[in-house]
Amino acid sequence: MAKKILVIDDDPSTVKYLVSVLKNNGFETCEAYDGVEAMAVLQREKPDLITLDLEMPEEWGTRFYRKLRKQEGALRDTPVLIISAMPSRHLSVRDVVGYLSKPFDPGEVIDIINQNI
Amino acid sequence: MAGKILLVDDEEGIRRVLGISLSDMGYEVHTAENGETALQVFRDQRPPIVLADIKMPAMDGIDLLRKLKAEDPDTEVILITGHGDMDLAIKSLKYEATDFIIKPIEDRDLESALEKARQRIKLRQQWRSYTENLEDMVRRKTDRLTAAAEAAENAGNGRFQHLFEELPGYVAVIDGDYRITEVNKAVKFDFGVDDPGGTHCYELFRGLDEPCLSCPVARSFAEESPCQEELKFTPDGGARTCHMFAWTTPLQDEAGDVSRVMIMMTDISHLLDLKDHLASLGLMVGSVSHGIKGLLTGLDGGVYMLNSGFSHNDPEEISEGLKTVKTMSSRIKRMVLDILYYAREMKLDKQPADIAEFVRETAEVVAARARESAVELVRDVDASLENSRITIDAEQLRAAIVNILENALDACAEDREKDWHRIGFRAFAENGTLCFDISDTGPGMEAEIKENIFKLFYSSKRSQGTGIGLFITRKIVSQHNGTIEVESAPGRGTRFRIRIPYRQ
Repeated sequence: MAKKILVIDDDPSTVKYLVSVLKNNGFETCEAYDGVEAMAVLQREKPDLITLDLEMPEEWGTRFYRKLRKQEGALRDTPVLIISAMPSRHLSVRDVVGYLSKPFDPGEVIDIINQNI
Repeated sequence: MAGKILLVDDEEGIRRVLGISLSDMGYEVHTAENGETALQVFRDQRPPIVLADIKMPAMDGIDLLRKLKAEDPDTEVILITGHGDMDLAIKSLKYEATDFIIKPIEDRDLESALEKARQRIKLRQQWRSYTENLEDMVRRKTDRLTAAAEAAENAGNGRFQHLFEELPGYVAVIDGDYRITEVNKAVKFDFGVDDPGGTHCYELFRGLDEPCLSCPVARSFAEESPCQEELKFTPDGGARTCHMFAWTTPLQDEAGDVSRVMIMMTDISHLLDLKDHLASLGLMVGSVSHGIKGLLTGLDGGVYMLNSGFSHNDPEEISEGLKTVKTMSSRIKRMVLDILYYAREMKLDKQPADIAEFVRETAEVVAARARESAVELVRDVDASLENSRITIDAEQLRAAIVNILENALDACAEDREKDWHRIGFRAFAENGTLCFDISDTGPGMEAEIKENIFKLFYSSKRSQGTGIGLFITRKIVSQHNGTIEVESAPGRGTRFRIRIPYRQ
């Protein structure tokens, strides 16, 4: 069965881009544009991995990340790949499978995902 | 002599012609025909400015730029780009090129890029020497002064009194009641007093009725040790404000008690200006490179979808990709134009202009976009202004108003609550001013956004805005001695009003 990736970014063009890359590589996708929506989609879709932009208004990204790690059961350990325009040294989350900085290389996204699920 | 410059271009003709121009401007010109040679010449000659073609075989201008910056980050590198190499030009900014000039090279562009490089070099040197020297200077002077003042007091020696008088910077001796007992010439001169004896220091220096909240003099009395503090002062009877770096030291009387404190101050306003300038440059580079990263990601996405659409023969994906590419390239264009506009020195060229025509031509700039977005654009010039003229820099003021009109269009496009939108653009005379009134039926702004819109690098449009547009607008309006106000509330649209002094 195809693995499912949750794409979270408030910039619609980035979401479309990632969804297109993922579908072309045989993944299923679901998407969310802010932290609240992301939490609902996470619980409904139970994705195998999440790509997350930390730089969303009002620290949605960071807050979503913290909430995710406090979830009950297996959801808590969902692997997270950060894709952000901020340099990684400025980021406040540590337990992730990778950081990619924008603009990213689609090949790298797929490599990191394949290595982690 | 303007100093050394290194000119790198693979074409001999260009090296020769540009070399002559640069020599004429007074530079000692060194040349190289490729990146490798350029690096060798750079290491031998250490020129502060390098002018390099962006397109060269083997090592291109960008690679050279990165290597030069790695060897010496202070090198000012100006890149020469061809027409249409905008992507390379943007990349050059990312790697901190000083500027880029576009072929065919106009002397004016070359001169302005070189001027910018020289300014940056000067600024950096000033900044460095100020920070290195300031503390040291104050300490040395205070030490010398303490010794001089004490010796003068003990020996009554006129020679030391003279030294005290002539010291640069402001020096005063203050007693336990904050009363000034002695000052040097500089204080008398700049604070306009002949004999301040008995005046309170806070009164003379800062025009206050009671001691300052944070006072280094009081601390020196209490701690019996030297203190330092940055203070805001108003010499010349309040005509200007300056920032002072103050250094105090306790003076002991014969019994060994601290009966007076000496304060020595130096004006550091200039230093703070430099600091602001540097901070704004840093902010600029950071915010711009961040914005560009976002836009490039979007552009990559568009191209990827186009490719993917073609290989799957999926018309929907192709059109999606094309739409993204179009949006992103227009945003990038706008951003680059904003930045170039901001970077440019703005000097007004005021000419009498017909008001009605000015309004019509300004509205014309955004008319096509308004039609596309199905927004009604209504312009109205009061009948009393028919055939009237006003002296303005029409090009600049138009740019200022277009910024507002474009924001109004963005706001209307964003608001999907209503199925119709209108932008009103009116001109009328009122109380000795010409008013331009721009209103929209968009979603309006929260108070917090409204308060910040004129700040440099503030944008409510996130990755789509540079935060430069309205900052420039306000700058242009104030250069016309005008004012700009905004009224807005969520759900009630937004209204900007620009007033320019005008006599009918």
